[in-house]
This record gives sequence, C-alpha cells and structure tokens, in this order.
Amino acid sequence: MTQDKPDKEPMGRRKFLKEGMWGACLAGLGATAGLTARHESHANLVWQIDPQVCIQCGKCATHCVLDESAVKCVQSYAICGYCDLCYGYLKPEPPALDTGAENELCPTGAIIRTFVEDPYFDYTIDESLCIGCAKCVKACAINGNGSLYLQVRHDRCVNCNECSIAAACPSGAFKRVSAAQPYLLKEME
Amino acid sequence: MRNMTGATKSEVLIGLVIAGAIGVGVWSLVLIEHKDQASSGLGAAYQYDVSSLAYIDPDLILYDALPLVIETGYLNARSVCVDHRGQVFVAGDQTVRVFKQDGNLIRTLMSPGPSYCVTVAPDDRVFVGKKDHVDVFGPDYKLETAWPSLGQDAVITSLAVTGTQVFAADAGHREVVVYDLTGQVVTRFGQASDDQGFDGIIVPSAYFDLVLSQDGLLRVVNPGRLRVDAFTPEGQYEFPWGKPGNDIAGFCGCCNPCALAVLPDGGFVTAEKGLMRVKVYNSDGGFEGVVAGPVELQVRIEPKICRTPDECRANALDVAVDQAGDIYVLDTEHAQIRVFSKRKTND
Ligand code: SF4
Ligand code: SF4
Ligand code: SF4
Repeated sequence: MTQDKPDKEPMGRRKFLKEGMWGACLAGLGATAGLTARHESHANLVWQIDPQVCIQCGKCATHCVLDESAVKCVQSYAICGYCDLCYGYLKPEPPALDTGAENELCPTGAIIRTFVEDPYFDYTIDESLCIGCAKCVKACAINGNGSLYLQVRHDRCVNCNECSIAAACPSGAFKRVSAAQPYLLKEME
Repeated sequence: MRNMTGATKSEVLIGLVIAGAIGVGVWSLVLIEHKDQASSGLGAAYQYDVSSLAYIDPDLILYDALPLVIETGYLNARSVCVDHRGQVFVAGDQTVRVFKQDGNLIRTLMSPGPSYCVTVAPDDRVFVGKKDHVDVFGPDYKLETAWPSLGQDAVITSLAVTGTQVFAADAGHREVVVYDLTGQVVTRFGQASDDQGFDGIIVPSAYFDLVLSQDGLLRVVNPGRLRVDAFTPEGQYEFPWGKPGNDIAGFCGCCNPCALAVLPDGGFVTAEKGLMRVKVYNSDGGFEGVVAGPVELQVRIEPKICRTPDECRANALDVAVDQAGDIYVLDTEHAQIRVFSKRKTND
C-alpha cells in the first residue's frame, strides 16, 4: 500500500515568489494598459508582438522611430525555471556562474539576477537598460523555458500608423491588437 | 545486419548524397541566421551564435548510426528500454509496444491510462509507469496487477527493477519511491539531508530518470542541478557526477540530462534535450565521447527555438542500451528510434 506522504511544500517560497511576481507583472502591464487606453482613446488598435511568431532577428532594437525602442524584453515569471544556469543571463560558456559582467549575455547589462534560495535565482529586466535586441530571448528559447520575450511597451510606443518595426519584421510577428488588451502575454498552457 | 564492411557502392553513394544534403542544410540555415541578424544593424555583441552551439568536434564522435529507424507509431512516445533478448519496449500514448531489433512490431501491452515509462525484469515481468502508479505484466505479457496510486500529483517518469525491488522516479513529488516486488512502498528519498550532506533533488519538469548501475548503486538524474547523483538502494546518498555547462562534457539547458542508461562496461549514456546531444561517460562519470549530436540524430540541424512552454519542455530524447552495447535513442518529437553502434577502430 502507498504510505501516507508527509505534508511538505518543497518549493513553497519559490512558488510564492513565482506567483507573487507573476501577479506584479500582470498588474504592471495592466496599469500600463489602462494609461494607454486613456492616452490613445483615438485608437482602438495598437501594435504588439506575437511572441510565438517572433524569430528574434534584432530589428526591434534598431527599427523603432523612437530613439530608444519601445520594444523591451519581459519575463514570464509563471514560466521561468529560476535556473542557476540561466541561458538568458549567462554567456554560452561563462568564465563563472556568477554576476560578474564578463559572464553576462546581455550586452547592456539589463538583466538583474537575484538569489532566491538554493538553487533558484530570480531574473528581472531593467527596462531603462534594455534595448529590445532579443539576444537573451533567443538564448532562453533555445536552451531554457522560453520565459523571456519581447513586447511593445505602450507607455513608450507612440502607436505609429505604420509601425516601422512591423514593416521590417521578417516573421510577421507584429499585430494590431485591441488597445483594451494591448499585450500578448506568454502564459503556461 | 550490423556488419557495415559489406556496404555496396550504391550505399556509399547514398550516404554521400545524404551527408551532402545535411551539409547544404546546415550551411543555408547558418546563412539565413546571419543574414537576418546582420540586417538588424546590430553589432556582433548582440548576435547569439546558434551554429557554434550545435557544433560537435567530429573526433569526439565514437558511434555510428545503424541503417535502421524504428517507427513507433506513437503520437506521444515517451520512453524506451531493451530487454535481455534484445526486444525493444516503447512506452507511449496509452500502451507499450514491443519491437524486434529489426523494427517489426511484435506485440502491444495494454492497460488503462497514459504510459510514461517501462522496464523489464530479469524474469521477463514488465513494469510500466502509468503516470501515478505502476502496472505489472507477467512474462506472458498479460496484465497481472496495478499497484496503488502514488497520488494525483505523481508522475512516474522512470523505473528500474532488481530481483527484490522496484525503483520509481516520481517527478511530481520529486523523489525516488522504492517498492518491494508486491508493490509495497519500502522507502522514499530525494529530499535534502544535512546528515547525508545532500542538497536535494530538484525536478522542475517531468524529466527525471534513474538507472541501476553495475556497482549496485542507483544513479538518479538531478535535473535542476544538471548532474547525476548516486544512492544506495536504501536511499543513502553517495556522490554526484556531472557539471552544468555548454561545453561538450557538461550538461546544458533545462532539466538535463533528460535520460540515462547503463553500458555493458559499467559506463553511462546520457541524453540532453534542447541542444540535443547523446554522450557516453565512464563508470566514474568521466566524459568519454559523443554518440550523436543534432546532425547524427537528424532531429534538426540547429537548436530549435521553442515558442510555447509546452514546446520548450517537449521534444526530448530517451536512451536504452542492449547487451551488445548498441545505443537506442528515442526521439520523442518524431516517435522514432535510431540505433548507434560503437565505431570500429583500426587499432
Ligand atoms: S522584428 Fe519581428 S522577428 Fe525581429 S525581433 Fe522584432 S518581433 Fe521579433
Ligand atoms: S539581451 Fe537585449 S533584449 Fe535581452 S535584456 Fe538585454 S538588451 Fe534587452
Ligand atoms: S509603433 Fe512606432 S513607436 Fe511603436 S514600436 Fe512601432 S515604430 Fe516604435
């Protein structure tokens, strides 16, 4: 017969963090969506990237009409594995598995690594440093869980009639979406 | 069948054509990759070089693919093992299919629920992991009994059997469950233990393999820590081997190695998902060489960029070894098994 299992929650703190961060992320994007809806009441549709279509070509960093691209990397905390060896954060063969700049994959140092509990780390994006180059997105999608992805941030995007990134995007990942729901979030199926 | 010395000229030509086609494929993908990235206007520091990740030094490849592909016919093929007669057992969908070594289907073992893994005892009894419990089939391949459920969160991803015990890797509860042969749970282990100097098995997803090695110890994949841990059958922690890393000796990606098998000489075969690699290590865990990379597996010629969490977690490999030391690699994406044999050397 199967023995009774001890009452245990081996990843309770991690789960709490994951769910908490995911809630915070949604709340943040939700607040931005609200602002967007107010500022752009003239437009029912806004531009957004379908993360399942994007091929991480890098043009989001260079083709936006704004000096600083409106496209930023975002993290899905519900998907992230919180790996010590994070492929979005670390170079393919880092000299060490730590936060030394020489180990970081992101050319602008926009990913912040915070220790949670052995062996988990939390990875967040400093949007002021992220240029939307998608290098970390590609690394995470090849080696990891695909939790890093690009989104047009609507607190920055001016919603051009013809998005110049969309015109250059080789994969057709840019879509017009409802301004009321301006993000195409990656979630667990 | 496995004697390659008698290959005809036409077989050699076909081989050359296939090799050429693969080469052209690799080259065109590298070109497409570089063309897209270059046209972004970003400098080299912003490029993620996919092609170099997939490169494997040909001198490290110790095995050749046999001209045989076993088509399992499953939608979801999950696990492979080979019994002492050389019969190939594959768990997938709701059944276990048994193939001869030439790839012909011999029989199908049926019982309710999804089949996650399978192992065969020396007395020919077949143990099948059915997600939350174990089904036992007799040597006549008839269902004998279904052991009690380990709970609705249980996901049994691997089984090993001795003359007295059955070991189940339960990815759902992140522990190894030890049964006696009547299905009674004897013990469980895998939790961190200061007494044993063990930091705990971390299982982020349903890839959690174990094998019984020739030294009598269990080797249990610790996928969250990208290493393999050795335990006594009683659950006493002994030692780890393996290290995280993209270098060929390391284990990279998420939840790797995703599969493990024992060679007749006591060494180990490992499989990694994401950056797909099958490698061999000696009995002490020292890296020996490569069985196959993405090119040899013909799964894809560059690491795949996954789009959804399910896709990122899927498309793994499983491995098994027959008594001759040939290695069976189950590609779960295509539900096919490729067989690799140790390369003959002249010295
Ligand atoms: S331009 Fe398109 S494919 Fe390229 S990174 Fe942006 S969304 Fe992705
Ligand atoms: S690698 Fe590129 S997309 Fe990722 S965080 Fe850094 S700047 Fe942003
Ligand atoms: S709509 Fe304009 S501002 Fe917004 S991402 Fe496209 S180019 Fe940039």
